[in-house]
Amino acid sequence: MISNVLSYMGLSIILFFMSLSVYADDTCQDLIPQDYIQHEQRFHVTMLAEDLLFQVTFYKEYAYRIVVLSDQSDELAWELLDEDKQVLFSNALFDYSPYWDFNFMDTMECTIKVKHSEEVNLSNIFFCMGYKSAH
Amino acid sequence: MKSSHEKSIFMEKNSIPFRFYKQLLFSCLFSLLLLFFLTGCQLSGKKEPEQDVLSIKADSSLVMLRYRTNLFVIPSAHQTTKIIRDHHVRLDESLLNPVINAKRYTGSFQQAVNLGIYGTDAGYLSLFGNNQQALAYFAVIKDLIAELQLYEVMDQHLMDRIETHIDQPDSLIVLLAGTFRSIDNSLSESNRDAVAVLAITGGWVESVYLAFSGLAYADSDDFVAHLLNQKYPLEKLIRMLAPYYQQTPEITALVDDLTNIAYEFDCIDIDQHYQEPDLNTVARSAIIRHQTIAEMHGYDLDKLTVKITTLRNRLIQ
Repeated sequence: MISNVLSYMGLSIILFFMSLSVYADDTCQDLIPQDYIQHEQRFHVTMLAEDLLFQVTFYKEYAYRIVVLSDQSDELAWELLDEDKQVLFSNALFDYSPYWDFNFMDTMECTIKVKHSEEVNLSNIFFCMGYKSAH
Repeated sequence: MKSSHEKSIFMEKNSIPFRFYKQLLFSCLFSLLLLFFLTGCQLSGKKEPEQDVLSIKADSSLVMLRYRTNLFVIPSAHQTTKIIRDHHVRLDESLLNPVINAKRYTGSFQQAVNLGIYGTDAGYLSLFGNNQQALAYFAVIKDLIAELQLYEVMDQHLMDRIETHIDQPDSLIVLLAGTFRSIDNSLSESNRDAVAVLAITGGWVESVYLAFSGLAYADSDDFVAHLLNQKYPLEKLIRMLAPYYQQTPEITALVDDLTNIAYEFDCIDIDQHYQEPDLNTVARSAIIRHQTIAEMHGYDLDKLTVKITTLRNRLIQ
């Protein structure tokens, strides 16, 4: 009887976390407003013991929405850095907001750094980006 | 008492498979209920209706490409051709790759690269209102897509839409940009990323070739600044092509030529001026006020123009 209960719980936990991944994936896409263009493919990667870096060129006069989510934690920290690794934005200062909009006055190369922590280790990180003309 | 045949079809109540499936079923139901509860019952009716591609502004046609763990965003070739038009550089049809050349392209490298080149040419013609000629280019694009066995990307329905919107250049460019995004998706899904990267590279080379050819006629420094900013997409294209470097001699030569062009772009003096971003916590938005001043000497610009022209002319042969 006890072994049955334990196996129910084990399977439930596995399926629950699988469901959370699907949910986080959908939420990532849903946080991009309809008037933004986004890549049709989902982009996710497992967080393994180090920061994740996404290199993106942002173009002048475009508006971007960046969404970064973890399927295991609401306190996922990410930053936007310029070419000199200067922090332009950190979501940790804004209650770990999963998304933020950016308007660029000039074209620039940036890095989006998703910070590793014990809470998000081995979690699935979902990254979505949408863009539109700023005019 | 069940027969032996019935036993093989219906699991006995206490058999191991029966117990396993029962556990699985209960676990699934439990997980779904838990998820439904924790997510505030948002699972129903959350999806927004699919947006019609034509309602998106044409100048939003950046191309977002995914390669393994990298995400690249590059300006679509059509953004560059639009800048050509906006800076009053005149239409020069003699610069384009003639449609008749398409018959020569029998290998997948040539087909993929020239798919991108013709895509840019079609967008360029549409922007300048030369719609009938643009249609001829769309027909060639359709043929090349068929040769590359990407039937789902450009079907008869899309060709019909293109013909319907032939008098609306911006709509055509959006359709074309959507086509190239579909090519990228389709090829990524079928592990044929190299073809997608080659098509995007071809489109980039053609757009930069057209832009540099119009440099003498451009009416502002902004045009030059846009050309110099092409350094960034070029670096990304080289990184995306690098894994295929030794796949074929053609790709090796292409990467070598692009790297050579990238060296010329390195002669650009880039001066970054940092300014504190404007943050709006209510709207969750930021205005990034960095200013980048890029300058290049005329002599270096000429060298860059020659190298781009040489590469582009080799690709269309």
